[in-house]
Amino acid sequence: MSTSQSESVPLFGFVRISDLGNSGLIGGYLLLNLLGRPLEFHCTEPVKPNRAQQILYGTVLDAYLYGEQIAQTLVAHSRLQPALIFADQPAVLSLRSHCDVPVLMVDTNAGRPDDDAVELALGAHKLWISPVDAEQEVSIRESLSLLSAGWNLHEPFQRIEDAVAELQKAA
Amino acid sequence: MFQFPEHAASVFSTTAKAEPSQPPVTGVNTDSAPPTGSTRIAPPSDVIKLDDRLYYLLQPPLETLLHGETLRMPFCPFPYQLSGISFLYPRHAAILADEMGLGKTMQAITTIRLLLHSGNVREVLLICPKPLVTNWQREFKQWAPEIPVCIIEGDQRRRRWQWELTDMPVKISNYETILRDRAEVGDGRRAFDLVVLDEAQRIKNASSTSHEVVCSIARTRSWALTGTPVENTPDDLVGIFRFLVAGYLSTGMTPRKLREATRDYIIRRTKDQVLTEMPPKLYRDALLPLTPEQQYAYHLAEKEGVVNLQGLGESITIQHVFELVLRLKQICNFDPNTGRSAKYDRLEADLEEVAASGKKAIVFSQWVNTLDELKQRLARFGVVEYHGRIPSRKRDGIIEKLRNDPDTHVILMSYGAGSVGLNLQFCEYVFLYDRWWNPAIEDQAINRAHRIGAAGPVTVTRFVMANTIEERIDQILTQKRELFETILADSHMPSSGGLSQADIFGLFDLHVPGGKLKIPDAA
Repeated sequence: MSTSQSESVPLFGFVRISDLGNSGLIGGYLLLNLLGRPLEFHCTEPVKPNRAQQILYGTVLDAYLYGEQIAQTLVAHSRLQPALIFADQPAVLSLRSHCDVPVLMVDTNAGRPDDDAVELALGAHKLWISPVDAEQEVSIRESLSLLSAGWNLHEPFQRIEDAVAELQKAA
Repeated sequence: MFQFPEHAASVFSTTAKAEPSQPPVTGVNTDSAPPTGSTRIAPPSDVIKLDDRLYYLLQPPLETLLHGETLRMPFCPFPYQLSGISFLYPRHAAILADEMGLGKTMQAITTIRLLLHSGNVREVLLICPKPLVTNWQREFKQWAPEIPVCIIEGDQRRRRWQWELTDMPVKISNYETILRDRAEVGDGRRAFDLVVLDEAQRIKNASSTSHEVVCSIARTRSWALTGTPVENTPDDLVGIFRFLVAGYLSTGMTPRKLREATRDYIIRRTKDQVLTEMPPKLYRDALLPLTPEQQYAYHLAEKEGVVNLQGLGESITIQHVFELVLRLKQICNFDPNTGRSAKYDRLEADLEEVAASGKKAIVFSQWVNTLDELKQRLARFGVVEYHGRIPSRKRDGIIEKLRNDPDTHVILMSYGAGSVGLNLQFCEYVFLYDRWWNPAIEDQAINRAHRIGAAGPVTVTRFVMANTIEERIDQILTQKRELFETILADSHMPSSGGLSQADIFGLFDLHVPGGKLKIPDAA
């Protein structure tokens, strides 16, 4: 994130990692304004852990690949800084250790990502933040309040999926 | 030592192509209902560059775009209309070929609105038949009230000045004016981001001057709106495509090849396909301006009539006022001196499409004289008449002819003869050439076509002349209808509900010595 975004125009980031099976993982990062319009999109080339990584990271391999290797790289390439970053995959939450922006988990079938996670809400969505961000809960709620309760927080992830699929087709 | 995959740092990036110039980011309306659907904009197949395809894929659903406070819509579009908008939005060449009455106008306007707001287009030219210009103007006011619209009209000097205007993102002209202004807009003298042709079948003949001039306008995007892209032969479509993508189609192509080649360029829905869950009766109010000739006759009659009424003083009766109302309404139908009529021009334009698509229409008037006049003028559409002067023994035969003769498309009816006891479910269009006093009678008339077993949803066009007695009557009828709907939502329309004396007197600002005329209480 080379430049910061004006405080008066908050932006929101969405990270989604697509698992292409044998082809590896592709990460997509979409930055939206309050109207849901895209301002930036970044995606990685396929990432495939080798055998050594699998042994070394064991049960935390996903957190390493999703959060540190892929999501961190994507966010670092972004020109604008978001107020919040949303993810719908628990493994992406480890991104929080590598960037300055609160990362929120959007409700999925997986449920609460961590026993210590703090629960918030936006419209019909349940959201969780890492205990690390508990002290920032007020400012996070303020940023969330800028979003309409009608925002469908799952929808931008679909856009990322579609874009990644298009890129795969082109490749 | 472990080697971490280096390619994780290899990132493909794209950023917004055009910062939305408007609206400014002001937040979304948190009080309004959230968008429920998810109509995405898919990149058309002729968009090949990866960046361009991603641009479309990354756009929010239309429901999200339209949910913004600055893009408020007067009504919630039907799902098929949102599909139409998402079809048009990314396309540089497209035909919106929905059946008449499904809202091609609204879909085109909303897409233009979105494109203007997103900065994708800045100058739009819309060309339509002359009688439809005011309709477009009114629809823009309703569906895109913040978009400045300029109607190209007036003498040559005025039009030249209008063409030069740079702060009017949408310019509306008619086919005849475009021919006259060829030197202003043709042959690439002026460039537009988007040119939209309404009733695009007007340019199907590639050898016509209209076709030549329209195709010579420099533009980035080209859209055609028509309910009948193929009227007579497949080459009709080829003619329209010469405007959309020059050289893409050629005459003599087989229908199958045409279908394959044009699949990604045309969207067409019929009422049968999309109206299954919608109200089967669609109202289209045609608020039209009087022609200059009608205007002159109208103002003269109104002025004289009001003077006469005021001269009657306290001896005035409702009959006196009624006579004036009838006279003014007749002028709204046709100018008594020249026969000019804005209503007729619009009716004729609409019937072109009805007949071309093989449909049937009912035209209602309260006067047999008006029906006689229409019969002569509309003869080419195949006309039968059904009113008080038609002997009862002939009436069944008339209905059968309308039903079975493929060349008969129009039945002219009086409210009196045609409002009850007839089954005309095979008619999908109803035109109320003039308005009856009572909404219940109008509904009964409309329900000749809109009945169980109807061939399809019925489109009802109600003609009303702007700034005339008809507009005032229409307002009163609307109020009464809304009142009925509010109170009697689950009941049948009562037979009463016409204009009372107070209504009729209230149509004029009548003053008598001593002040405003007091309206009698009793009918």
